[in-house]
Amino acid sequence: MWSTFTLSPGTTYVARFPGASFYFRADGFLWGVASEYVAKPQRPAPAVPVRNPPKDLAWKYSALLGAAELTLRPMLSPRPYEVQLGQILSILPGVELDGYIFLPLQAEILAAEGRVLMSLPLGVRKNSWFGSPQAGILCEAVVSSFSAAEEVGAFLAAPSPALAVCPVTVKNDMTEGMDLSLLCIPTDILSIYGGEGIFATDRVLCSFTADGLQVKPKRGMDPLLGRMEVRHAARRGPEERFFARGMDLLRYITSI
Amino acid sequence: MQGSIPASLTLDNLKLKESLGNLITLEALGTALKLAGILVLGLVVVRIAVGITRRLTRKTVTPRTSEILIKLVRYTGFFLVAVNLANAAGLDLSALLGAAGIAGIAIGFAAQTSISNLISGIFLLTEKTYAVGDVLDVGGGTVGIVDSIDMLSVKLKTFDNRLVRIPNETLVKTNITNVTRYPIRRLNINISITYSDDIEKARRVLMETADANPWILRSPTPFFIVEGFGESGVNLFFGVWFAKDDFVEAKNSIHIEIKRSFDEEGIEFAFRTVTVYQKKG
Repeated sequence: MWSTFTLSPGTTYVARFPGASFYFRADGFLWGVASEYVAKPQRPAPAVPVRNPPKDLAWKYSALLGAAELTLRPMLSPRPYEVQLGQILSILPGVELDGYIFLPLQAEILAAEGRVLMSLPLGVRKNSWFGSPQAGILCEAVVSSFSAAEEVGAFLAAPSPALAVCPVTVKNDMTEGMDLSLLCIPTDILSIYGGEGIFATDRVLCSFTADGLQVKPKRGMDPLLGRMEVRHAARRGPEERFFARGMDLLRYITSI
Repeated sequence: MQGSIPASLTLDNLKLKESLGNLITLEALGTALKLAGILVLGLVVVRIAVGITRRLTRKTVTPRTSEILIKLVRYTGFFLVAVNLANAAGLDLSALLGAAGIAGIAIGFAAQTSISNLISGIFLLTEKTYAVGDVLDVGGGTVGIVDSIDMLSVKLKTFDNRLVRIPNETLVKTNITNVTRYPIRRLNINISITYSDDIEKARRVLMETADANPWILRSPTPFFIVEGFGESGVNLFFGVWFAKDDFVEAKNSIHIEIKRSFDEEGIEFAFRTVTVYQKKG
C-alpha cells in the first residue's frame, strides 16, 4: 500500500494492493522492482520485508541515485479513462446531474529527492478507443457505477486504496434528451487528494452540446469528501496557466 | 649573337614582362578571391535558407514534405551559386544557357523515366498517402516500413531487413495499402467449427476471450458474423480491434487464448475430413 520505506541491501520488500503486489530490493547501486497481479482481491498492506518472495518474478533493475528511500504515491493513469457506466442515464435537455464515479489508481515510485522513478498499474489494464476508428484517443477502459451522493457513503466507510472517487457533473446543453452510457475523463487536468485512506479527484464538468463534449475540471475538494491534502497535483493546461497569470497580473495592477 | 642586342632594349623587355606578370597575377588573384567569396557566402546563404526551411516546415508539414522542400531549397541554392560563380569567372552564360536548353531537350528525351518519377513524386506528395515510418503494402507483395521518400523513389525497409527501392511511377500505378495510417486496427480471424458445435456458445466464448485479453480494445466492440456453411464446418468471422503498436502481442495472445478457450469449452475446430465407407461382402 501507499508508504515510504528504506531499502536495506539484501532484503526484499513487498507492498500489497487489492489487485497487485510490488516487490522491491536493493542490490549494490541497483534497485529492482517486480510486480505480481492477482485475480482474487487481497488485503492491502504497506511495504514490509518478505522472506520468501516468489521465484518466478520478472525483476527490472535500475541505477539508484542517492539514498535508497522509496515512496509509493497514488496517481491517475497517464491515458484518459473511458468509463462505461453501469447503467444508461437518460438526461433531459438543460438538466444538470451530479454524481460520483470510481477511477483506478496507479502507483508512482519516487526516490528520496522526489524524483519519479517509474509508475505501475495496480491491476491488469485494458484499453479502449474513444472516438471513430480514424480519429480518436486511446483510453484506459474502466467500468464504474454513476453513484448519487448517498450511495458514496458505503465506499467511504470501507475505501479501497486502489480507487479514487471522482465527482462528476453531467450537463445536457442540447435541445434534445440524451442517453449517457460512456464518459471520457482526461486525467492530466485532475489533482488527487487524499486523507484517512480515501482518495478523490477534482470535480469533472462534462457539458454535452450540439458541437460535442466539453470536459473541464472544477478545482477543489468535493464538500461531501471532507478536507484532504493534495497528493498528486494536476498538470495545468496552457489556457489555465494563461488565465491564472492574467489574474495574477490583474491583482498586481489593481492591488486587490 | 647576344652581344648584338642593345642593353636598353633587353632591360625594357624584362620590365614589361615583369609588370605584365604582376598584372596577370593580381587579376587572377582578384578573380580567385571573388570566386571564393561568392562560393563561401553562397554556401552560407544556402545553409541558412535550408535551416530556415527546416524550422518553418518542422511543425507545419509532414517530415516527408519537409525533406523534399529542404532538398528543393538546397539544390536551387546550389544552382544559383553555380550561376553566380560562372558569371564572376567571366563565362558567357547566354551561350551556356542556350547550350543547356538544347542539352535539356536531349536529356529530357533520355530521362523520361526519371522525369516521370519526379512528377509522380509530386503527385504522391500532394496526396499525403504515407509518411516516413509507415508500414506499406505495395501491390500486395512488398511489405515494409518507409525508410526514406526521395525525389525519384521511395525506399522500404522490409521486416527481414532488406532495402527495397520502389520508383514513384510504380507507386502511382499500383495499389498501396498504408497498414499503419490509423492508430487502431482490426485483426480478422477466420474460424471454422464442426457442425456438432453450438454456434451461440462459440460466439460467447470468443467474446469472453476478447474481453479478458488486455491487448484487445473494449471499444470498438469485437465483430462476430457467421459467414456460412462450409465443406467441413460452420465458418465464422471474428474481428477484434487493437492499438497498432500492439500488433504482435495482440495477434499472438488472442490466437493462443481462442485455442485454449475452445479446448476448455469443448468446441472443435473443423478441418477437412474424408469419410470412407467400406461395402460388406
